[in-house]
Amino acid sequence: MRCRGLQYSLAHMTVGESLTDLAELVPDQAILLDLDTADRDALIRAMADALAEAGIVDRDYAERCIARERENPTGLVTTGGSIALPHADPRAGEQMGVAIARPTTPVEFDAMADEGTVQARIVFLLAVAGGETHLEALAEVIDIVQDPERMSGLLAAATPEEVKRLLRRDSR
Amino acid sequence: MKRVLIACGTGIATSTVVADKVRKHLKANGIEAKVDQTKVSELHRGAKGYDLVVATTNVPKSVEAPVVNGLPFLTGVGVDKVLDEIVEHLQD
Repeated sequence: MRCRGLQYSLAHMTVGESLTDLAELVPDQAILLDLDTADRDALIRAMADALAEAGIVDRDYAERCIARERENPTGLVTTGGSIALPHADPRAGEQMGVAIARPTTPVEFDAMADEGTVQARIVFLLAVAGGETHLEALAEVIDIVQDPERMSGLLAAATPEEVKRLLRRDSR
Repeated sequence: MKRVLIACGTGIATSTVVADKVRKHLKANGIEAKVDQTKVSELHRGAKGYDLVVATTNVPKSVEAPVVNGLPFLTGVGVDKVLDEIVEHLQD
């Protein structure tokens, strides 16, 4: 129950109510800076397990994301840099959340729509749930990955607090 | 009214973002269209009744409607070009 604040805020959010920033969907323990792995599946596992730990997704979310990544890869080269957006179909009872990882060396993902491979430097693992909040948060993730300034901020961030600051809308 | 189908791997994550951007752009251009979302695995039966498919994944050959690449909405690279393409397909 380390993430009580987050669960409380999600439980009290109704459709249409606006979520002010993405930072609220990212539990502290799901910000993995300088994660020392070159293995894609290990990276996904560490991220999904952090969301499971926070009570956002079920324990098997990592395996679901890995399976989905094999079938429909999520590596992207955006205007902000090389990233990946692993995620899987939501299950009833799971909540919306985002984990962020910055591996010490880029991790290879297959590119979305079979366009080769991507050496991802920042990875956003998404737990999706539907509704307006969901759309707003996803759009915010896409805004961030397309923004070179905030992406270099994420590459340089020294602490999870710094990452959260960059996720807030007013950081632009 | 024109009908547009947005397809991605799960039909819930990337297609949600793409659908929102397409809806806003069509509205801004005065094009009335209904925009639906699906997962690409549902497309093996084709996309009957749709005037256009915007996909962030590869689309099976059984799809008879024109297909536009939705990746630019996620990458930010070449967005204007793909928006023009979408409008072109949906104008009478």
